[in-house]
Amino acid sequence: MSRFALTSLMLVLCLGVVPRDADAYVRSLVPGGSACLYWDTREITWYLNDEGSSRIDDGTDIDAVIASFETWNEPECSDLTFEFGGLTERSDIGYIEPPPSADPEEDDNVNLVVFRRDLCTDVVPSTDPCWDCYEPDFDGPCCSTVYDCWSHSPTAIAITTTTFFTATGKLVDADIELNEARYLFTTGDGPVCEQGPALATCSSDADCGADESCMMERCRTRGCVHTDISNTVTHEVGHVIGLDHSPIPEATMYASAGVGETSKRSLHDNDIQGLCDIYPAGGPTLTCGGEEDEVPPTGCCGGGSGAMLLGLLPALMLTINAGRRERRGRI
Amino acid sequence: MHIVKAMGSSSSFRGLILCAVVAVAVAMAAGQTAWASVLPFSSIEALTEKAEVVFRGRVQDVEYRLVDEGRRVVTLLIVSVEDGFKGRDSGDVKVIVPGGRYGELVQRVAGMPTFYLDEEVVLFLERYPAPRASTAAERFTLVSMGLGAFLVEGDKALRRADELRVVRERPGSPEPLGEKDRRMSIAVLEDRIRAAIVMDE
Repeated sequence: MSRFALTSLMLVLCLGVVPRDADAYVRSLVPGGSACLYWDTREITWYLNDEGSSRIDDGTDIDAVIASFETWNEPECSDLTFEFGGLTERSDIGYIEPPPSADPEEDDNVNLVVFRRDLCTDVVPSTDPCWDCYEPDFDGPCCSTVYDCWSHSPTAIAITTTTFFTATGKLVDADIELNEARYLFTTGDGPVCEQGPALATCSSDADCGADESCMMERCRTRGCVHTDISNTVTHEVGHVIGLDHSPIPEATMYASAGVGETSKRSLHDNDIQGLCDIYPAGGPTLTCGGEEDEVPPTGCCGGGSGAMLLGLLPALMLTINAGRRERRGRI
Repeated sequence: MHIVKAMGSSSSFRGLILCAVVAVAVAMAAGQTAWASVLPFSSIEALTEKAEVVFRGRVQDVEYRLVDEGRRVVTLLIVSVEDGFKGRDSGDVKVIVPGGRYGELVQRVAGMPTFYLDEEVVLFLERYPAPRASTAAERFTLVSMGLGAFLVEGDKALRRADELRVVRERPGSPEPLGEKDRRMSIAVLEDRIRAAIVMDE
């Protein structure tokens, strides 16, 4: 291969493989596999626990969560639709696999958003048998289900639990929990709060002692933006549809957020491209890497590392062969 | 030597290799599997202070279990302590990691890493809350989810935090989980842990 040809190939490879900004959305993959996560329906119904946020009593909490899902409904290039199923008393997270013969109408699983007001460690007696729910001989509910409490790391602000098929990446359930026990969620547009995200920081200039409700009130009445509900949930919903973190800082799907951030209530072009590539209006869902797929997805970043590496293999083979030929010529 | 020289004499080939390597690296970086959970960043020092047990060890057993009346999956790990820094010097530690595989399904609790048999890890653990007296098993869970788990690969320690969305403490402050926080030499990690323990004392 001539030097000119090699250089040309090098340029083509570089230009063709390195993601351009507009293309650089990233899809979530099955752990340890190459299948992208996706929904095989274009209408995803979700519910909100009827308690909403126990710290916000003017309804803006519910509005903010609904708006977060609606944001993903807006782009006309996709026909994926989130349908708000309404408020529900349910607060259970997870998925119970229905028997194969079950009527889909009787599927009792729901995609749920729930605010957890209390840490389980604060409200569940240490003698309660629900603490043993991970033991092999225990078949009852876990404490978070019994007491509607936050059982995850107390430092976490929000957690998404997804359930999907290992082989195909087909999603069947997604639930979002928000840790209201330790963080102050806000919905307004005021200035950014000066403190860090942890609720405890709000007591610094308040004579509240350990009175949590007092701290909450002091925080709330400051009128500043702490952990914005829409900013948080809009990002989480991106994961619900199968998007991974974007390398673009302005994108809603970027991997970090600032305290008081509200700019990611709306979608960046990068987020919209991901949505519309995967679930194009009137077109087939873009899957990749699963056992049901014969052809890896085309286009940059459409399938994460697995598909991209597949695409790179021919180029690498060419590279190696070119090198071998060149070495043979010189030896 | 001869081959190195032959390869080094071809700038086009060298460039092509470089481009391919960069492209593969970009592709791999772009494909990091992740779901989101949101939490503030915790430094090694903060993790060490908060953790009851910190050690370098090896995953000896991975068991998935269906719990919560069948709606949730947890992974139960047994990890052998090979080099204890805090709380444990030896023996096995049982760790609960929410999420896991069950039949044809996978359930992921975002921010919780996936562990595999025989992996070498550094873990920052806190006691799983309030075990009943009737439960002899002493169990732990990760401090700050994936921030509290490192995979040891050769002389490198890789933080298992790909699935996390990290919150900056101050608007406009630097990226809280930069490359140097995600990947460091195992020697640096251990030195920082030991220094934090000394400071804590």
